[in-house]
Amino acid sequence: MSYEFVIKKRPKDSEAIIFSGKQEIAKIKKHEGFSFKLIRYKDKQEWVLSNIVDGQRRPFSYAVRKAINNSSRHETGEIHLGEEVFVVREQLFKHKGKFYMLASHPEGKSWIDYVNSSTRYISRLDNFPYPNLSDIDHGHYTLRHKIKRFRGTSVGEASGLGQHEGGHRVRLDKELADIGLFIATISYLLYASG
Amino acid sequence: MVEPNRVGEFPFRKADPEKRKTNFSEVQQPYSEQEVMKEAERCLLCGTPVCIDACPVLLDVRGMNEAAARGDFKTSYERIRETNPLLGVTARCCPQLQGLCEDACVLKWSGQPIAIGLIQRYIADWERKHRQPPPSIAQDTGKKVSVIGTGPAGLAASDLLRRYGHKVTIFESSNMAGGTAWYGVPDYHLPKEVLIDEIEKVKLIGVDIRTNITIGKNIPLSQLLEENDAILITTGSRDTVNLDVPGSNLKGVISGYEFLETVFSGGLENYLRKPKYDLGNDILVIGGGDTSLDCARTALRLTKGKSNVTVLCLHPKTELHVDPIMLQEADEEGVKFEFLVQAKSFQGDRKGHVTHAIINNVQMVAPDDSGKKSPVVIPNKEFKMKCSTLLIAIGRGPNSFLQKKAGINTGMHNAIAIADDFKTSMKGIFAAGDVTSGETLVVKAMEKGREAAQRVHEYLMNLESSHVSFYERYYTDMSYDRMLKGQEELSGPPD
Repeated sequence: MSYEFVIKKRPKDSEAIIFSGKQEIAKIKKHEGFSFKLIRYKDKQEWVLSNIVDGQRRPFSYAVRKAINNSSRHETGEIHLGEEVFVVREQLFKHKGKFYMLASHPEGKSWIDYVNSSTRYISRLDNFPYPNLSDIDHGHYTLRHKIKRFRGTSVGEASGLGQHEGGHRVRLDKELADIGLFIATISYLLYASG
Repeated sequence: MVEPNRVGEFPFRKADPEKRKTNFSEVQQPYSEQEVMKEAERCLLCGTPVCIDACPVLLDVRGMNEAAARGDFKTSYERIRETNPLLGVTARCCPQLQGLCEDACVLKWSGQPIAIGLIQRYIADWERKHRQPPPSIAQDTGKKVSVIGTGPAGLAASDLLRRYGHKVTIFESSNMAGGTAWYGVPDYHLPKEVLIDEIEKVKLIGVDIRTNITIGKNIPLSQLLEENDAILITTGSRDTVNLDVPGSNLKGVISGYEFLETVFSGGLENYLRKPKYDLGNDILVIGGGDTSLDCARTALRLTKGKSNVTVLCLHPKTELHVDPIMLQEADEEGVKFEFLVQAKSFQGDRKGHVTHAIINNVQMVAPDDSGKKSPVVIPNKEFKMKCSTLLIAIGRGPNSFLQKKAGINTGMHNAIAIADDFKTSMKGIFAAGDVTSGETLVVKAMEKGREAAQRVHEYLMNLESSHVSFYERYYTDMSYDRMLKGQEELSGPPD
């Protein structure tokens, strides 16, 4: 079984709608500073996404924090942020003890296919040698270069630009279903928001 | 030969393989001015420029394209020179489609990312014909910094340190500056006049480069430290990984790195006038990385395209750690490949010269739960290959000479151990680039050189507590608005 999300940039440049099938399920809006807000329609749950991860602003990174409902929010307009529920750090994330990479290239596929293709894969990195995302810097200064050479098993794909008619499509295997909304949002923000 | 639309709307032109394999003229052909302008016009000028995020030196790709589309190459050059002193080098050496700017370009979703490398190359080449003033330099600080090593990390660091207003001297042990970019990248990929010109521009802003001086041998590190306010070590990768199989000491079995250095370090033309190697007709290269391809294609050219050149790779074709474009070019030139093979031994003649290689076939298996695959020899499947020369390029580690000599703390593979602020275990001494991490890309070494230079500057000026990373500064400064207005006030270094 797989899960598919489509993200379309509208109505403003700084906003996007997320669909599951034909149903609108969430919205992305520009938030304070350089962050974004993700609002899920069914329960009005909100999250704030920021590219400050592990203490500093990083490329290809987002931290997702739950927004806590605050009764005084209407008066002050303030949002209190709760725990960090999901992190992508320089295209890598950890979920249920396993590591994954966005925009990766699965094992067995020729690199020339990667170069010529317009599909980006989400791969599970079964042989990842680090225990935590934050450990990567210390022994691996060539992160962006060598990390890209870690191959894995494809568990999802992403394609399309958010501003195009078909939108940005993210398909995920069942093992990522519970964080699918976060992955789709971050994939859009990182690669397809234009 | 024209490769259909690898990137951009215009063909990615390359020199004809049958002709180019007989000489060292540049393989990649440039865009014309009209093509550059049309291609730059396709840029969406994204509000979130992923291309810049993907560039290790945060080259202002968006700004470059915006100006180039208008034909304002002067502004285009200024914008990219701001963070990249080796524009022509990186335009040619970066694997843009492998995890860098072109890979990140949002137009890749439609299959046609902007040809950022070709636009950058045009701008760099344009500047060589239409000289632009050097970038701004801050007021003299009175501080002295010595940089050890003139590879990409050292050059990028020195450029930035000088722009901060410090007096900078770089020491280079060989007779030519440039490091791996000089001796390790063949001329058909990077014509040396491009590198020489960019090194001269670094010297033009007041960086003093002194060659044929080995720190730790000609001048003790301690003496250098006394004479300077800070030292930055950028001595790169040097220690080759050796292949320990029977016959490795036969004549004609050569380190691929030594081979490239011998051919290119004194200048290609000088080598061709007086070649050292008699390569013969059957050349084997053991490797599987970019250097093994460089060795293979260089050897082919030195034999005027007539020899049989085969690269022996341990990994399957789909898992090779090479630039796929380079692999394709090698294939076009007739370089052959054997995958999933491993050298068992080498045989020689009575004069002690290699004549054959005995090769094992291997398969990759995962022997334990970790899933990590290792090569396992397939029994009774070995074969023999004739060879007149065997080049070994299976990896290099950090240049360990200085840290061993001076007693600087090291990490894995004798890399200089550094903290997040690039400081080593010795006060006043910093390190960056391949000497701290092992072999990497030219642009990655430049990234680390620049970051280290920023830290050296903060150390010298007591600004360490107010450190802000380049990425943070670029992201929050929102240069996008400034670019749109067309107002450039690049009056000082990045700080």
